[in-house]
Amino acid sequence: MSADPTVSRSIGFWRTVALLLTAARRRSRGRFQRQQQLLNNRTGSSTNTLGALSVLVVWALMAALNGGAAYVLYETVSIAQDLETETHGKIIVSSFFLERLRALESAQSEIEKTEAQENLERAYDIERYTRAGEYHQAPEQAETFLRNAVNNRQSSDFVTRPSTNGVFERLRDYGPVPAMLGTLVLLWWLIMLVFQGEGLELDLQRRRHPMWEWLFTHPVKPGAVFLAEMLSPIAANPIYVTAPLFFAVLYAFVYDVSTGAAAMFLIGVPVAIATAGAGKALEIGVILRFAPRSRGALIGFMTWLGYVGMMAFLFVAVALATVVPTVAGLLRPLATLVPWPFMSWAIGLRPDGSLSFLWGMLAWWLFSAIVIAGGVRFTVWGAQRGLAGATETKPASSAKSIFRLPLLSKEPLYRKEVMWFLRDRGAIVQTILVPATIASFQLFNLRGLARGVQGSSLYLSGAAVIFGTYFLWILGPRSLASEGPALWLAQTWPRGLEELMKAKARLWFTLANALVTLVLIYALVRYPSDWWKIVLVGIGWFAFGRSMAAKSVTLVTISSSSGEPEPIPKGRRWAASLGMLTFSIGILSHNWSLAVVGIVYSWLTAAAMWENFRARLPYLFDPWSEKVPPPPTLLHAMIAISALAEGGSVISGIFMIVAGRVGGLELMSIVQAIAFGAVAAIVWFVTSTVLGNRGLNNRDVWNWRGPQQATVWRGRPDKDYDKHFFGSLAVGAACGLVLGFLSVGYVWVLSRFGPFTELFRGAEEQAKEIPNLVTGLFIVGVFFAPFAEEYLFRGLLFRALDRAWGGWRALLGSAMFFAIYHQPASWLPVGLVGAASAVIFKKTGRLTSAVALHMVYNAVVIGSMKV
Amino acid sequence: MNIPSAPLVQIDNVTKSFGRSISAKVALNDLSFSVPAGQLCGLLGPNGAGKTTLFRLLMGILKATEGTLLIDSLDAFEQRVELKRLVGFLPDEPVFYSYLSGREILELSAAMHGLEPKAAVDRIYPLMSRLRLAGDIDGYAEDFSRGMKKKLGLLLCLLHQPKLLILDEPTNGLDVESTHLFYDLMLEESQRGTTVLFSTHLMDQVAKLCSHAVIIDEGRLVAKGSLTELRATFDESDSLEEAFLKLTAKTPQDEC
Repeated sequence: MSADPTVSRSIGFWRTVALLLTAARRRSRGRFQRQQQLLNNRTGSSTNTLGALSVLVVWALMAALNGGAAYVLYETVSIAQDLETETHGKIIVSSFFLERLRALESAQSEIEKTEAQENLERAYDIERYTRAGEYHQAPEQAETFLRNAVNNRQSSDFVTRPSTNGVFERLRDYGPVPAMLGTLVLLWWLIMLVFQGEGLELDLQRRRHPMWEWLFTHPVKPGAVFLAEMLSPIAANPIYVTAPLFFAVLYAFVYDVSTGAAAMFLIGVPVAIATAGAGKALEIGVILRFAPRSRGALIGFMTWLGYVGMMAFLFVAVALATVVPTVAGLLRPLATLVPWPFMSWAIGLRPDGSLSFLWGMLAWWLFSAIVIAGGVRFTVWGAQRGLAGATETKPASSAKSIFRLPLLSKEPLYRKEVMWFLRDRGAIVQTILVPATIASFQLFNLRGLARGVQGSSLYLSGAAVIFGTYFLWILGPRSLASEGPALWLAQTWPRGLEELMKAKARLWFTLANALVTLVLIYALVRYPSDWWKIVLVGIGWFAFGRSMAAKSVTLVTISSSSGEPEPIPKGRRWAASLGMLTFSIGILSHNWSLAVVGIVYSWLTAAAMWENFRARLPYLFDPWSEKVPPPPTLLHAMIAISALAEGGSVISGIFMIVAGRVGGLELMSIVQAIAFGAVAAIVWFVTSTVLGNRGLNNRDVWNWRGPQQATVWRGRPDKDYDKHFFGSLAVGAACGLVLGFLSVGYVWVLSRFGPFTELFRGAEEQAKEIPNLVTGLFIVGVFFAPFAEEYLFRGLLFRALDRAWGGWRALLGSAMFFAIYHQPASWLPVGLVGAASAVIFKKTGRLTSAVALHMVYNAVVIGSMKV
Repeated sequence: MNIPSAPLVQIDNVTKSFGRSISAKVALNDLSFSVPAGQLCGLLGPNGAGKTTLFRLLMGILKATEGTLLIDSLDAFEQRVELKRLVGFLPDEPVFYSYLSGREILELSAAMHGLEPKAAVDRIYPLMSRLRLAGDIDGYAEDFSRGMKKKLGLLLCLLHQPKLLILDEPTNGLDVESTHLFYDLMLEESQRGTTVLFSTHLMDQVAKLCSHAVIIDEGRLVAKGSLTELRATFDESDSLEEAFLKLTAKTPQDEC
């Protein structure tokens, strides 16, 4: 053999594996670095610390999951043992209680008996809470049960719970049910691990892996290539690296901490490798063996299994005490039908009842060997069949092409999407199964919100709305799934990507609508008398869901040319969820005005995200040229407004506490007014500095010169602009006066109506108790708020919205956003003021005229208040 | 040089770089040329010269770092949506929806151009038969061979009868027969008045088809003009192939 380094020769099996794994690690690191570079390019700053922190959080979470899974196993077996004990007529109590019970039984003299009885009485006080916690009972109920048991039974019927180690050691003593449940948890953890792959953001549209064909042109063994591929998830997903922690915790429960540490390496590492490899082997087999249109569905389903398995651990862990008895009740017939020896094998419990670490280790080694061998076999089977090519070449329904079917809409984009649903089995997984699952988990998460309305129509309709909302939130980012690498075609059409994305938003909204409407109809059937509430929820959903769909499609990212999807920036994902909780809580708590706040907030966020998206969309394939939209953006406005609202309440709260200590009640209102002024000044300073850095100085915010002013001044706006300063102030003040008197009239009329009479009287009573309230309100309302609010709501928000939506929608949107920061009773007049200010600002081009309007209006309204 | 008619494609001082200023990779460097309406123009350059980048700029998929690209007086980036009515584009390696048949993709594309799908496909049917694609058109386009995908891509380009055809390496991966068919079609389109801009790295293609050519290398313009003009720049004895090699030749030190 020649050792000439210039001659090609076959490299060894393990060297091939090592080479390919190094390449896999480099690829994953390179991908991370590219994302960082792009992010830095966008924000112009370095965010490496944040990136490192989030990596750390993910690792910690995965470690907690694996360790927690072992704890779930322990708890399940332990609870099942308790359950079996009590089913067989025994009563489990603490050793403390049992001791005192026995002391009472063995007491001889009267004095001893009295003393023992007293001790037992005290023990009841503790025991009833322990039992209540474990069996989800009321403490009184638990105490009654205990007292009856003590009176009617002997102390031999009372037992204590086994010690931590004893739970597994005495596994067989409790019959087959604990062993069965333990085995199920064990299998569940293993299956979850197998299907983790490289995470949920997996590219479900994956084509046949082009790299393999290239790799096979080298003098390497195919087995080595597949083995390296099978091991690659370990490098990519921290859940596999942290998987050995499961055995560390499990064996620490069964044996002791040092045995746990040994198990982590000796058992955990081979099992982690086996499970990671098995998942990848299934994936490879599926990719090679199945036609492209089934592939996506199978891989998607596998990923879904992994995800559901993982989430279910998190949810079941908090509700074990209720879940285990239910499952045990359901599966009890199975316990005796088939043997369940796996649990014993897994912990090294020998037939003679003794524990042996060696036995456990050998069992797991055997398991790992079988799994790896099976995985390789499956891969080879896939490769043998699959490299021959896909089987299915003609669409089954080629004769009746969907483009000729008379459908509801002629829009070709919708028709294409329908074809995707009908032909690609992955479509269902991507657009229904995965979003519906995540939405259900969220629903489960938020069940606390709905506790108050359980059993009413609001419970059902609220659940429908929350489900629909989260469904859209997850579906939006998948909007380009049906395009995949064929997205170039969309760019040869005279329609533009923006229109494509809008079509998707409408389509997803229709899909979510169908699901929500089904539940609402069911609610209507069950609670016909609540029909108006359900209809209101339906209307609310319609207004809210549309904005949710619009927001969520802005979360799309495109895959790189090698098919690796780009992750969604966390901030964007969070922004898309704004308004979701407010709206849901509003619906569930029957608080309609809160629901409206959620809707308005969600729409404004949608506008802000689309403003950003519209600027970003042309650069979908050219992120290096990406530019941020020109200031002031809606995002600037919304952040500044939130800062004023939140900061205002925090700082004035602090000021008031200090004022209350120092000057008593007298000063309170005045101090609050000054605090508002201070916060407004700070917000203005920070905002104008930020905008200044982006090239927009203060003058340009206060003076908005544009073509729209020409119609007002009947001349060239540039030339005559400066002449009309006082004229514009007068117009503003006059409008303020009229609106002010209208508002006073509105309050007068409103206070004549039943529920409002009480409301207003109550507010007046309260106001009387606070000295200087009206003075304080006057200071804020006339001297501070007009400047701060006009700057933020008109100068920034309306102006940005006018660019994004234009016309009456911008007017309505900004006025409603202004209104929701006030009391619901005053939404109408405040909204009018907002709209009038916006019109005046746009027409005169001067923010000062809007300030004049606002000042005069507030002066009239506050001046009319009774002191 | 006397240009017979107004330029349909006008490229002025276009520079395209990827990445931030210092470490940026410059794909096109101060490139200017124009293609008059009705011309069949070859864009010639070795691998990595920037041909595909230029086409992506013309399609509005990328934005030029500097300079302007106009097609029929419309800005290639700012007015990219309206422009698509005038332009047909064939990428080097077209990829299609995995769940649609060839015919359905044609129908979809026609509908997206606002045409009546069935009529548009019927109109193009003779061409489909000439390309020998008619028999397979009802199969999934994803399962097509590379050559069939190119043919389907060409049909898509011609569906809406564009003023300008942009073809990226049109005959790359085609067999000899199909290559000649493609040449014929390009010539026919050109005779009908369609402007055709196609890229290639093969000189003999240009010699066979075009009257005019633009040669770029490493993102810069190397030469442009009619083939006779290009020949005149060099010794009469040189073939075009040799001229091309001379123009794009570099000494090893150039590569850094």
